[in-house]
Amino acid sequence: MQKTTYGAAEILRLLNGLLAVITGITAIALTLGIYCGHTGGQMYTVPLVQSRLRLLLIPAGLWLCCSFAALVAAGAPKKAVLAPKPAYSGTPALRRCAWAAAGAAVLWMLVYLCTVGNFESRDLEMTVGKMVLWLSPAAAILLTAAYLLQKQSSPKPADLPARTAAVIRLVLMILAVILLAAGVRNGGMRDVLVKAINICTECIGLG
Amino acid sequence: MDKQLNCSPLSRLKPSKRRLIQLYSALLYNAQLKGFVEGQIYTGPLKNICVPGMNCYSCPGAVAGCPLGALQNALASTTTRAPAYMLGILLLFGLTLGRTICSYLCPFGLIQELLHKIPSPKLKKSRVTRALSRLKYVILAVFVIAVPLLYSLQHFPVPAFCKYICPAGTLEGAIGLLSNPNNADKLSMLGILFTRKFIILVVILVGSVFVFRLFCRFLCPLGAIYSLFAKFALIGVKVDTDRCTGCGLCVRQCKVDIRHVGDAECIQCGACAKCCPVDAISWQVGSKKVKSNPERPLWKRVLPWAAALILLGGVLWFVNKPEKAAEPAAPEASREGVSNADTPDTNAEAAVTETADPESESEDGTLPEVGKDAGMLLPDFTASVYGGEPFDTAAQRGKILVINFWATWCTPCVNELPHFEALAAEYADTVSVIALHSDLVTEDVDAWLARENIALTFGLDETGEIIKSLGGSTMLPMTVIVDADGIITYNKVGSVTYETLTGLVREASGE
Repeated sequence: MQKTTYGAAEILRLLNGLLAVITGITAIALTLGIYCGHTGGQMYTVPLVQSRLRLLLIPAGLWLCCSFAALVAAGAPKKAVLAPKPAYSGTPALRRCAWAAAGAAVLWMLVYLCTVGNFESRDLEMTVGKMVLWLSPAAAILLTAAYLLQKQSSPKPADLPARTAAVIRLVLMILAVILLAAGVRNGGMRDVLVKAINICTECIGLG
Repeated sequence: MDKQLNCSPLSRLKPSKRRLIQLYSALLYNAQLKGFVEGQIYTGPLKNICVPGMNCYSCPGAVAGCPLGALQNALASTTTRAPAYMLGILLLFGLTLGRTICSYLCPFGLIQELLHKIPSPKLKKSRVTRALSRLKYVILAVFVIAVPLLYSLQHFPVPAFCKYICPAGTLEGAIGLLSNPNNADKLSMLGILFTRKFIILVVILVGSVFVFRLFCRFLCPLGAIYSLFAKFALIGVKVDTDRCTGCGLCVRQCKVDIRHVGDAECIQCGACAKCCPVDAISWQVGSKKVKSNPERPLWKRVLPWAAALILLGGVLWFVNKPEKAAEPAAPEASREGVSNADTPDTNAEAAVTETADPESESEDGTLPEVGKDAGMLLPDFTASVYGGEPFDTAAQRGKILVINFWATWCTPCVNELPHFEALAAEYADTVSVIALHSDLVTEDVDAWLARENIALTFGLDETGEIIKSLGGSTMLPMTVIVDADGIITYNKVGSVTYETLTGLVREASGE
């Protein structure tokens, strides 16, 4: 009997995952449909958005029902203890290559970002698009290097001595207070207020 | 280890203390409940400060600023003002709470955790996820720091993370505002930017069902900032290395990509303290261990919660209290004495009068109503002008009038100013163009105008009275076009292109 419940719960869990993906893909497809089907004039209109939301209700409703059923069927959660992962056992030569690649990737990024000419255009779509295209390979190299250079987990942390940490904390705290006072004085706080009480339509993605 | 396995269905429904604090802070950050009803954001003094977690300040409920948005804004104006205030705030948050903010005080973290509760196959942490957790540092360096700083050299504000990535902004700000029927007209602004950000939001939300705190672990630059303080934060989970047997259970139980408890990836949720078989992990304030003592007197246990509830009640009352009715306008509406200054007199109020021009009579002899919508008569106003005589709209009758509301910190506003400049040059005989800086700050505008050298009439709507009279509130940019008879033909929030402007002007001229 217990085995049957467990089986049903597992199936519901898988089905629920599938429905989550379907709902997400439907939402993206419907949004892209509005964008691609736009032939001039206002892109998003209330009736159009409402009609798309109605279509989304079908997978979203199914997902909601399935989630509820899966929650009921799940019972007590299993505390999965994750298996310890062995450290990457790359050769020293490979590790050296990874370090070199990471250094090159950082340099690549710095050179791109420090070239003021790359950020002269006020066509932000083009500038940021180009930047993402140029920096993505460098970021991918960095992440690959981070993968290769991982160390074994060490549950016992090598923390700073408590006294050293306390001194650093105190110094930084004093610095924070000085910065705050300087910020209030130079109008930085007013800037925060001005930005926060107005809405820059592009900043929240409205356009 | 047995102590963690109290997992009856009822115990699952009981929220943990952490969940209660998360819900509490989400409510506290978004205490302006009337904003959700009215579709307007809070504009009170609490927005001088920032909350520690990620909560978009354009959310209708938000009562304080978002540290990430404010940081980008501060970096974008580095050439005029050192970003001391925001650096101080982030340093203070990082030093006191560190990444405890992520697990206890971040509303977007709460949303992701709740989504992860939905039963589905879960992606376990691995070396790949650990490598991916470095991505947030790249995003911090490029989108939050480099791009705003580089564009600040051109005095062009670009909060790149907010604009291109931030899912909290899309969910709380854009969708939060647009889901209110009062803002239905703002749908006209949506285009590729919203489409792209909405897709990012959907991917992150659906991904959070499968991956624990997808955004926090791999993408959040605020978490990346707080992770720099992991070793120094005053409050956090610490390991007693003398007691620790090095069994590694804490690391294996943890859902995020830590190498050891309390490292940069640790979000300080404290779950490991419950699973440690030798009680080596505990909460610490500085070097002092915090022990939960069930023997404590009741008042000591209740007091913090009572104080928190009083604070929440106070904030709820303060931000939701009904506003005082506006005093009736003074009968004398014209604005004398602000004419010749290079910088407008900031003590004087912009005057808006709701009078109808007799020449504006329609064909059937009736006067259109004064108002803000297309087809209505423009309420006359006089605005002070930078380096010139006051601008009186009544004196512009016979010409098409184009009013643009903008601000120096607003990227789309600054981006579209050249279109208005070109329009003013092209249609100098038939069109009057005024760009009204709708903001509180006055000193920056002078310097900005001197630098940019845009040939346009720049005025000031310091108190926001003019923009309010035209139905605007807090959203920029906004453009209003008025025909030669003083009738409004266009009034919308959002960017316009030169082609759109010329089309609207032709429409207003009856072509």
